[in-house]
Amino acid sequence: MSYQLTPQALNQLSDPDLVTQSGLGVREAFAVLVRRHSGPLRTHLRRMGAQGSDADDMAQEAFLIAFERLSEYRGDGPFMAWLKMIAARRYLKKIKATQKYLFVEDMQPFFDDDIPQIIPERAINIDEALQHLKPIERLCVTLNFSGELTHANIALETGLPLGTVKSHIKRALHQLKLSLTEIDPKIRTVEKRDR
Amino acid sequence: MKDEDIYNMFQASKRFEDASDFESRVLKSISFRGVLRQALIAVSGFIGGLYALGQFFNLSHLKLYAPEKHTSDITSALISTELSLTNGAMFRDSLDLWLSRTIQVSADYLQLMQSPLFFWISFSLCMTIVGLYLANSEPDVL
Repeated sequence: MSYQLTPQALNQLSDPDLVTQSGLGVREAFAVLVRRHSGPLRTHLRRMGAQGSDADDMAQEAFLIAFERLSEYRGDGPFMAWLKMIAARRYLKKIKATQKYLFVEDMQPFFDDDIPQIIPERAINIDEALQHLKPIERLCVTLNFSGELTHANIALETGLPLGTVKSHIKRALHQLKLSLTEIDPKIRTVEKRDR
Repeated sequence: MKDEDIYNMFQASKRFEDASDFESRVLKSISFRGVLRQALIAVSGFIGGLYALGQFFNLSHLKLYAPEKHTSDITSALISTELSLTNGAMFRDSLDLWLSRTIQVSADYLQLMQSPLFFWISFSLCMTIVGLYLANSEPDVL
C-alpha cells in the first residue's frame, strides 16, 4: 500500500527524512528543502563575496547538484552544511578561474602587533561589516564561521597555506569586532583626526 | 565582543523578497534537466533504432517507380471516361505518383543508411550524444 504525504506533513519532516523522500522520487520533498534552505544558502554566497545574480545562480546550481547527488549525502552532518560546501566549491572554482589575484596577494602572516590603526566605519550588521574587509579575508572568515569549515579545510579548499588562512581569519575577526562594536562618537572623531 | 557573537551573527540569514520565485526557478530547472536527459536518450535511441531498421530491411533491389504505367493509366482514362472521371483519375494518379515517389525516396534513404558513410555518421552522432549525456550527468564539484 502506498500513500502520499501532504504538504503539511512534509513541512514537519526533518532534513534527513526529506532527503530520503526526495530520493524516493517525491519532488515536493525537495521543494520543501529548497524553501527551507534557499535563504541561508543565498546569504552564505553573498557573504563569501558573490554578487547578487551570481550568488543566486550558484545557489541554484548547488541545489541542482544536491538533487542529483542526494544518494551521496550520508547524513553525518547537517544538510545545510553539505549544501554550503557544494556552493562554496562552485564559488571557489569560479574565482580561481576569474580572480586568481585574490589568492596571491597579501600572504604575510598576522601578528598581534599587526592590529590595524584605522578604525573601520561602524556597521549595523554582519553583512555591512563584511563589506569593509578585503575579499580574501571575507572569504576565509565566512567559510569558517558560516560554512563551518576548519582552518585546515579552508586551506585545502582555497589552496592557501594554513598560516595564511589563520592570519586572514584573525585579521578579519578583529576588523569585524571593531566594525560591530559600539564606539563612543567622540573617540571615533579623535581617531579619524589622528589618521 | 566575542567570537561566539560573530558566529551567531553569521547564523542569521537575510530575508529575500523573491524567495518563492527562486524556489520555482530551482524546481523548473530540475524538471528541465530531467526532460533534457530523457530527450537525449530518446534521440539516441531513435537514431540507433533507425540505423538498426536500415540494416534489417534490404530494399536495395526494389523497383517501385514505374512512370510508364502511370502514363498509360492517364491516357486510358482520358479516352474512355467523362471529364469528371478524368479529373478523378488524374487526382488518383497524382496521389499514386506521389506515393510511389515517396516509397522510392524511402528506398533511397534505406540504401543510404546501409552505406559505411551513414554508419560512421550515425555511430559518431550516437557517441557524441552519449558523451554529452555523461558530461551532463557528471557533477562539476562535490
